Amino acid sequence: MAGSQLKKLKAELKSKGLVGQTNTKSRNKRNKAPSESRKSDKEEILQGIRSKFNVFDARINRVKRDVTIIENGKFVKMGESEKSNPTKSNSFMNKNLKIAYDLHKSQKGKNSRLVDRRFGENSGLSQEERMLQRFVKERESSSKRNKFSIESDEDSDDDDEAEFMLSHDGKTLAHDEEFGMDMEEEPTQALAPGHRKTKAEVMKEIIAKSKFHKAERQKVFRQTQNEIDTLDDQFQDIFQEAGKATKNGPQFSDKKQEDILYDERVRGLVFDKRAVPADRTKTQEELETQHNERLRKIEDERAKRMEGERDAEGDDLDQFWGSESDEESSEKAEELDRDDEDEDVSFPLTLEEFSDAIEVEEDPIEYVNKIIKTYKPHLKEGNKDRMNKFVAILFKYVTKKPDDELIKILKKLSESYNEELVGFLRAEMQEIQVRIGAQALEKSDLVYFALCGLIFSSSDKYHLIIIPNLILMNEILSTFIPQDMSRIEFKHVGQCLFIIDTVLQYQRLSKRFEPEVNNSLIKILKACASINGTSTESVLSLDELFVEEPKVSYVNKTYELIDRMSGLYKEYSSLKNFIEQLMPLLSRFQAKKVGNTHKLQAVIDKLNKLSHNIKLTPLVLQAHRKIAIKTLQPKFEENFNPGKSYDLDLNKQEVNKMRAQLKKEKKETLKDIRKQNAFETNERLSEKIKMYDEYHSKMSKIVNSISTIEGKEKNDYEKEKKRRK
Amino acid sequence: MAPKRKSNSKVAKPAPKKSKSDTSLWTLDHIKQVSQDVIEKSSYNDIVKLIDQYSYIKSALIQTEDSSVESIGRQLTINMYQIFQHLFQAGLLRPSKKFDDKKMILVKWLVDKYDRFKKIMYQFLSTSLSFKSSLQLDILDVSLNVLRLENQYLKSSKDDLYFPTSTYKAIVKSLVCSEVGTVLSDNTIDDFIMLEFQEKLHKYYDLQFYFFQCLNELVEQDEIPDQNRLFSIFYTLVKIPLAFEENPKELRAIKTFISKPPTTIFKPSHFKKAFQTLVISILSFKLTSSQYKCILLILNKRILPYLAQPSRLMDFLTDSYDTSDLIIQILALNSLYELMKQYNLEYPDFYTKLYSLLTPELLFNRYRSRFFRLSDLFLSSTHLSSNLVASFIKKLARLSITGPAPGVVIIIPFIYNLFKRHPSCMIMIQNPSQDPDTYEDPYDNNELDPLKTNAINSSLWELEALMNHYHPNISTLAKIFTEPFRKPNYNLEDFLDWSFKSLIESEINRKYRSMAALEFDSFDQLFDHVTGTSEGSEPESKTTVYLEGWTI
Repeated sequence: MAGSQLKKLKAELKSKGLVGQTNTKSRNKRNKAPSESRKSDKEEILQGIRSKFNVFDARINRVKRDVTIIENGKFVKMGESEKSNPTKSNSFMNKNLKIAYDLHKSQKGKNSRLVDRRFGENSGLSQEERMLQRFVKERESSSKRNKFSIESDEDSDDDDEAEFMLSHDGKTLAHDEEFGMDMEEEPTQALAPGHRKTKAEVMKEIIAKSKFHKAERQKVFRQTQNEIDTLDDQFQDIFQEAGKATKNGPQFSDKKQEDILYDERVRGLVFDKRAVPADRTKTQEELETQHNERLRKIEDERAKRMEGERDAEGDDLDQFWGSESDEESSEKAEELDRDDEDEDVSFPLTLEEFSDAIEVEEDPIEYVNKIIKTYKPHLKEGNKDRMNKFVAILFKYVTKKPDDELIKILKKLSESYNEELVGFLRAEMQEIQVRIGAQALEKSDLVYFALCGLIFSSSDKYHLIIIPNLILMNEILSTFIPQDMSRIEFKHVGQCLFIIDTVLQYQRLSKRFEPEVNNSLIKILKACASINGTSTESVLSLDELFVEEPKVSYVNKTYELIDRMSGLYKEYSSLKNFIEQLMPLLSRFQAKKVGNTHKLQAVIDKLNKLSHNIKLTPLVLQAHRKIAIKTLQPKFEENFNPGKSYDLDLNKQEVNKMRAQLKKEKKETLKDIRKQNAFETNERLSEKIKMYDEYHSKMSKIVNSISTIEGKEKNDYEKEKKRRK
Repeated sequence: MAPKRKSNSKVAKPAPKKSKSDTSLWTLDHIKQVSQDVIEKSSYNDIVKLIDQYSYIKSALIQTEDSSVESIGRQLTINMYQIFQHLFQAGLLRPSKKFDDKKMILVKWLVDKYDRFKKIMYQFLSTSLSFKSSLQLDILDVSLNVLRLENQYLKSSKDDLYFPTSTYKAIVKSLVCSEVGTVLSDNTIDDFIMLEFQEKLHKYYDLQFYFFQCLNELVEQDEIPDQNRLFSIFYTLVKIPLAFEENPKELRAIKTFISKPPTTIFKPSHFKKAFQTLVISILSFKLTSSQYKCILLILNKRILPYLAQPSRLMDFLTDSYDTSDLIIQILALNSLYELMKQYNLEYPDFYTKLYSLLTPELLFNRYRSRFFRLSDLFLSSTHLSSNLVASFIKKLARLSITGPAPGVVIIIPFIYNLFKRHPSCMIMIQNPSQDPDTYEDPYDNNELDPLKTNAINSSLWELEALMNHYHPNISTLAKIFTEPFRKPNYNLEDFLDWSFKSLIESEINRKYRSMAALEFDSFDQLFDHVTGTSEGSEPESKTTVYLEGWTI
């Protein structure tokens, strides 16, 4: 068809018989014009024409492939007939929006809704939390009541009643009024016939039902209550009757004073300790086996700790330390407390105070014991802290002035005040480390290491005190003797000898490997090369270790230590390397005949023997089962599609799906809201415009009428004027 | 012409107030007044008096810390700068053929005074006052600003690119030969003026460039008496990255003090050449061992990249590597490796040399982490012969049984990583094929060539000992060798930087969970009694002593 759009439209209209001559009789009778009877067709035809001409209104969803789908029960090619009709749908939506808008407008200011003021209803709690909170509240209020009332069951019912205050006896009292008011306010709701029940109504019904049932229950309860009351009334009479009968004598007791006393005694006897067969006095043998048993147990514990099992504790130690003596002392202490309440041993707050006091005392042990007894933690508040301090002071004092008796006391105390002692010793360690850094150890530091070894179980694999102490001592060993032998200081050599001895003493049971000890023994031998002289003296005093003087006894000490070291580490095959390194050095001493030559000879012999005995066998450390090589087979996806998710995790899949859906719906909702908003704004605007138009036309009408009246008056005036002239 | 005549008249008639204030320090206002007169009324003779003021200020400040004198000095310096700036602007500090004789005389006289002023400033910079005076820093600023003035007015033509080298050299000389500050024990310098100056050097490329050049000239002319000081100045400067870029374009982007310095300085090769000359002359000084270590410590990162021909340090480094001092060897290793990697240095028997560094002292060394970091790199190749790797493993294990705990901590994972890389060495810990009865350890500890030690046929009994190390964590760590080698490798960095201090720290901070177990063996005595020693070996009625042979 040629021609413009308009011409085509005209032709189309004409062919359908909608314009132009309608009464012409066409030759072809098949093409019927719309007759009067088929007037309704006119709209249909017009719609057809419209859609035919408005090509942009139809949107066809074209698809790449031919897909046949079923639509309205017919097989259709997909996309072909899926024509959307935006104009139609738009107008439909606009109509809906308009209706909604009008409805909203008409109801605005006339509608109210039920505000649920029940607990937790509008507070953003989840359903579960809300129920829980409510339950708690309910419980709380009911328990409050229970405190004072006997009839708790009934009361809880009353509670509910009080809460709602809407009904009584199952009839709603305030109910009608309240909802009546609501109804007035909600004409739309009340007037809607056959309307689906609103939430408020459902709630109302539920409440009403529950009230009804409750009222029923109360009714039953009241009946029984009444019966009980009548029974109670009658009981009063019965009781009076009974009272008359028992008026003759004392109601309960006709016992004499003595009997009562007797009874009391008998009853008291129940609390008395019953006789038990006494423990048999054990024979000496039995005692010994018991003791040995205990020793064995402790030894086992120790061995466990040595192996590094952290849970093995020294719990049984307290028993071993003599439970009898402890008890005795505590009993004694109590006695003492009673006796010498006035005799007060002043508590030493600092080390200086303590050492001053103990110096003055004749019997220092007695003095310390007295302090311990007087300030037992259970005697007075604050004694615990005092004793904690005292243990630290005592420890410090003992490092300064080692006294074997005091050490024993300290050992006992270190059990009960273990944690505090550990804390104190840790602080001490840090101080010592500073002194190690400055290479200026003090005598008390040396005593400290020995003392720790004496008090604590030094064979443990993990120990709060022993391990850091070992590290400290090894730091001394590895830093005090320099690589450069010309810078050697003999007091450091002496100190190192002491430390080595202590370390070996620490390791006497566990026999752990100490590379630094071995290394420093070699270095000490090298350093002592300049020392000459023969002497068998090997006992050293700690004071000597702080005087710079090369001594023969250092050499003797070294021999002894080598002897001990080799005995301790004879299990280690790498001892052989040491012996190889030590031998030339020792033979040099032997040639020069330095120190205790007998001892030296014995050591050399022992080393030779050990070296001979150590058999180096190739290691088989990796003797475990062969490990299979891990093989991995890749999962091959046939017809892999990069767009598709192959996630095996169902949960994740689900989540992703959900997320996509959420996103989509969010978008749609937003679009809807925007549309609605735009529509409403438009609507409001047009209303306003309409209102202004109305106003203006009204005003112009008024003005017009006024001006016509005025004009008329004027004309009249003019006429009159003319007339009078 | 006008100012000239005026000035002449002033020279002829000295102002009356001057004579009165000649003898002592002027006041702040007076200085201001006089210098204003110089600028406005051209009373040039006053310049001499103003300059003379410096000697008073200096002598006052050498004696005591006096802030008022300091502020006078500051004012004076600023005014002097203004005066000379004014003179430069007036063109009176530059002889020109256009001037007549009289003016030439004046110009010469002024130039002379200008030189004197500069000289006095430089003397001031190198004098040690009684305190760290900010006046000296101000003078440093002014003397650097003078460079700008000279750059602006003394160049031959407008478009000329010029740097007043001789003036700058005088500044550098005064600073290098100054008596301010001392060399610290870590070989840095605490000269506050120098430090301030170095900040500027790091900021302005041209100053830095000419600094090195001037230093080179000074060293060449043998004008630096104190080599120690020069070394520490150089060391302090170089410790921080220099203002330098390899790319000429980026080099140009660095700030310069003078707006248009000569373009030659922007050729990287020129800078490198100047720097290299200085480095080589400094390295040829008689360095103390600590200086030696210092320079080696920074050589790799801070010096090598700025050298024109880093290979010129080859001899220096190989010599250092061949010294007997283990620390110097370790420190040299880093730079040596850099040279080998970047500049193709051939070092024969590298691994033999590296093997020889494995001495018992190594683990006690402060720089052991440096060594192990590098060795890890050197031994990372899987193409090394297993004989060689086995030698290293065996030697390290040997070291571990005499080493301190922090050193042992490194060795265990190090050996583990080597095993992982060279599984053929696993035979050292798993060798069931040998007959234990006839077996002899074939390892030769004294063999220097790692290929011939026969370590591969030995076993690591040392590791067995370490499994019983006194430190519980080390013993647990050592037990990895008995377990399947599941871990791909250990991150060595976690193990390198332990020290006794950190080991104890971690022990002390352990939480108190259960009681510290007590010893149940009871000893009667901690030490032997003094009296007991005389009786000697007599069995003393069963007293037990914890530490025998020690008395208090």
